[in-house]
Amino acid sequence: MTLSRLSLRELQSRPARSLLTLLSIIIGAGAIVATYIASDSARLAQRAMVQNVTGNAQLEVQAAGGGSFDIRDVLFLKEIPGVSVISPSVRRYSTLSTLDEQGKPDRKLRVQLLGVDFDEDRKVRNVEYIAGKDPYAASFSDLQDEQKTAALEPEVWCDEGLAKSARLSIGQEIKLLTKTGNQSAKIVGFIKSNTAASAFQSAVLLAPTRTIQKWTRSTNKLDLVQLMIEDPKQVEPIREQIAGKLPEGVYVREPPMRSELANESTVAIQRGLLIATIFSLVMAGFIIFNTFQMNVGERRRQLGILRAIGTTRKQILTMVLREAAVLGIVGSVLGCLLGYLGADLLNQSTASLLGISIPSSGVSIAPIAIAIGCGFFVSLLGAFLPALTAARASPSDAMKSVSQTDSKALWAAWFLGGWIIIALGLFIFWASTYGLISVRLGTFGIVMVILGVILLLPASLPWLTKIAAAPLMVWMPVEASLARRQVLRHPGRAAMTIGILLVAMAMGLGMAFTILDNIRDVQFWYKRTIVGDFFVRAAMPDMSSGHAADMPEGFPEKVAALDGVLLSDTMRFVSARSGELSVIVIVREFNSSTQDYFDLVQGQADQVLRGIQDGQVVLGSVLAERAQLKVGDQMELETNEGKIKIPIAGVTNEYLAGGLTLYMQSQQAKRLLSVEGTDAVIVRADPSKRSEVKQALLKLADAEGLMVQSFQEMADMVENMISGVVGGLWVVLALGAVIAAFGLINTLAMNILEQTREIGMLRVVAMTRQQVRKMILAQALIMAIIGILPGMILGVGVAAAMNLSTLIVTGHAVRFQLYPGFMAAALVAEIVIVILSAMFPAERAARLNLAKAMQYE
Amino acid sequence: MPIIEVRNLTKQFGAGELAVEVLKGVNLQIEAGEFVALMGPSGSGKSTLMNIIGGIEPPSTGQVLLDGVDIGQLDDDQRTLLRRRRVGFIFQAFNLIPTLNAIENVALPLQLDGVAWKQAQERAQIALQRVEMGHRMDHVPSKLSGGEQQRVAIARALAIEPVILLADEPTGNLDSRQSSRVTELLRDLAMYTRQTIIMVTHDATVARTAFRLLKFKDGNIERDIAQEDFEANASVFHASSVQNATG
Repeated sequence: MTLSRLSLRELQSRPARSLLTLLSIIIGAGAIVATYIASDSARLAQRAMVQNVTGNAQLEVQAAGGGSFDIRDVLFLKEIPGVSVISPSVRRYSTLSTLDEQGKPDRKLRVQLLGVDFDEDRKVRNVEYIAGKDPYAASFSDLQDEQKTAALEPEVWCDEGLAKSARLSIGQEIKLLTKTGNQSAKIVGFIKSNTAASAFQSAVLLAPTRTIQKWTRSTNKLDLVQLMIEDPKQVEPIREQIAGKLPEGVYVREPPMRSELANESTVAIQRGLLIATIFSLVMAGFIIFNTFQMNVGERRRQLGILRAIGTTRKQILTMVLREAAVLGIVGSVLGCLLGYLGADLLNQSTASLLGISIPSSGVSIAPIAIAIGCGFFVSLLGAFLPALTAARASPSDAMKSVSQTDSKALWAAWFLGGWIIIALGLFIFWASTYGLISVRLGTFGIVMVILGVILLLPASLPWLTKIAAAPLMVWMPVEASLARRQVLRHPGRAAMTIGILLVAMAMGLGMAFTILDNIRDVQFWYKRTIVGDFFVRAAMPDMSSGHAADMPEGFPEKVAALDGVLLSDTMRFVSARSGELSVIVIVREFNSSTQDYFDLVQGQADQVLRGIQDGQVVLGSVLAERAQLKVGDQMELETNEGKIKIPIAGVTNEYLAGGLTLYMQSQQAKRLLSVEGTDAVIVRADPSKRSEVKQALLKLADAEGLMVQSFQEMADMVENMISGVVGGLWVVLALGAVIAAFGLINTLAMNILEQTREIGMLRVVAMTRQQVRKMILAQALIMAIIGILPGMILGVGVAAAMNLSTLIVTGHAVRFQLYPGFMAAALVAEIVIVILSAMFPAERAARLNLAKAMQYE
Repeated sequence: MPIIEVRNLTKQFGAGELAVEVLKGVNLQIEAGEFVALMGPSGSGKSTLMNIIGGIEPPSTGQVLLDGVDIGQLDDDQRTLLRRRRVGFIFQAFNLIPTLNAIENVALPLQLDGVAWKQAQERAQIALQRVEMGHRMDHVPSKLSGGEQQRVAIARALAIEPVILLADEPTGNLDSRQSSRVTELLRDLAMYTRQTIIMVTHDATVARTAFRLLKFKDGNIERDIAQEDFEANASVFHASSVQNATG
């Protein structure tokens, strides 16, 4: 009989062992694929969030100071390879008049006219066609043609938000006050932009570029060209290429909001996901390796017999590796399928449970390749090591019925190696946090620390199991003591099983804390900073260009005079330059001593307020970090009075405009930047009169053609944006728990299979089924206690580390907080998972056929 | 009154066409203090009979009364308690727990029965001294020779002060010197403490130390020979040994 037939028989004769081995590969490969997909979904949700806020453009071309530039200066953009979308636009402010039944002007509204190339604009701003004439219909692209445009009656598309607030309808005739006088136009359709930045500018009318250029006498002039780049890695090279060809006064840059907001919200989340992916790989590796160690280790005697009858070492190794390869490939392929289905199911159920949308990731090669590669090679490695030991041992030693326990010297080496890896990991993390090496490497530092801790386990098990078994000794002294001995019998395997639990706990807590901290950080910021109950605004200006859309004179005063208004403050956004940096100046009155204007990271609240009233400025955290400035330093700003230096009173957490912001008191802004007027009025109302204030504001705003936004709507918008990301992250978290549970069930079941003979013997000499169940449960609990507690500590460490890692990018570390309730819930959840996982193997052990068990080898 | 009474015992494995009847209506009585050797070719049913008497397997039909208790009527937990308190097992492969040392192995059944560790330890110590293993109490199985492991296994069986001791080829894994030590030990136990012992063996020399020989063939007892008739039936021992050696 050839050895391959022997292998096949071996697989068939031990169906439970073969199945469990195969299952472990399926779980491992499935874990990799599922985590990859879930992470990808969370990543997509996060990208969608950033795009929802900023649009899809990776680069934009603008004139310095936010003016116009000639279209001929940028025609070369079409020749640049790698640029997939070029969306030119013109923006002008206008007054819209609706006409009454007699055709006379009725109501007036301040609007922004946006001239765009519809097809390109749609791609950049995520524009959606809602009703009326479809501007994206194929035949309609002819509208870009100059002659045809001239031939048609001017048609405009209205933003849905504007249409609702101003009660505009499709087919309605309007007048638009422009440089060429009052232009007649017809509203032919509604569209909606899904980017939040556009939502701020919701008083928008769209028309083809040429129409707006004609109306505003700006033929061949553009205000902005937005670009999308095919390959994200090419953004910087393409930017440099474009910058070299632009005339003076026109520059290309990443949209500031995009780059900063993306970095801001991305860094912690992306690191969390990277850690989750690496952890899933580690868990998969442990599960598969552990199972093969047991599978082949258990056959030591049989391999010894084969050696005794003349099988060479090479033949033994080949036989075992061939088996492992077959199981590895079959299991990995099945695992990939299951992983895809599992992640999809989990995404869908989470989405419906939380009432959010989680983008679904398509089928991609990378996770499949990684999963099959990992399944295959870890299977080979897991089988190779015990097979090598068996092949090397003398046949008589290998045939001994009492299997050799693992070597102490090896565990001492692991112990030493563990400390070295922990030290290296800490060093890498430290270096990455302080910017000495890439931030990305810091993640590997964290993973190394956790792997190092697992390497410490085998040598530490004697005392760890003693501590872990202590509480169980009260309840089931004999079973717990036997269970402890069993765990100690194979320190390597026990360490890997504990490792699965530890990694699951560390990953789970780490990710959960990061999620909670980041949500809290964003909420904390907007609750402190956007303290008004209502916003009244005209069109929100484009922060990067500084275009104003100010509201009528005297409006803020009218608001302040309303009954029930406790406080009203004005806000104005303008663009300014500080050396190479383009910053957004946020101008406010800062006239209340009771209001929290800032979420300060540097400076005392009262001193900061006094400082800003005295003409100092407060910097957004990202700006402070970029410009390497702190409280007491001076910020250089280009102003009407030339470049002047202004003292810095404080540094605040800032998410608006990506944190590249600077706060200035209105009088100071008027003097230095000629800033007048108001973009928005923030209103705080007496809580008991909130609805009356809202009604009064609506009435007032309606008369002036302004929009009222309540804080709740704003909060809802922010919450909605993050909920998709958070949902995706919870999926990854749930996946970690599921993988750990499967891994544990499998490892325990395999462990118990290996103990078949001993359990049989214990049953024969004295043990009841209940005692067997207790013993298996005690084994699981001992490993769980050892894994869970360090896992919790490491999880908290991971969270703190991930928060700290935002420091270098955002200028402030996300505040770290312990969530005792959540930790307790995680502890209970993991213990429940452990108990449930132990139930199946325990029942199997309790129901062993005694006569057969005694024969088991 | 016999301590073990077996009435029309049958045991069948499998079902339908694949069914194999291993015991075919065995009848047997064993008195307290008897040392009985079971011999016979492989598959003749001796180990199955032991397993049923010891409560490891339930009978298909018939009755086994151990000290007046009908084993067939007991559920799994009751059979476990019976094994725990009244039956001592000794196996060919010793079957000690590799992670426990000698005294812990011996004390284990007592502890599982709720005996406090100190008391269990004292009783285990006495049992180990009885098998002359008092000096190796702290050694784990891998540090003991085969004979020593088997003596620890006997001590474990004795620690519970069993009604019967069931030994399944207790010398099968031992060399002749260790084999004779274990055999002498069993014989002394039967002789001086009136311990009832049933022992399955293929070794004629070992079987001769017993007080009674039951020769098995095809699922039933072929011969039942008392010690005083051993010499007259020497061929029985020889045949069994040869059958074992060739089978």
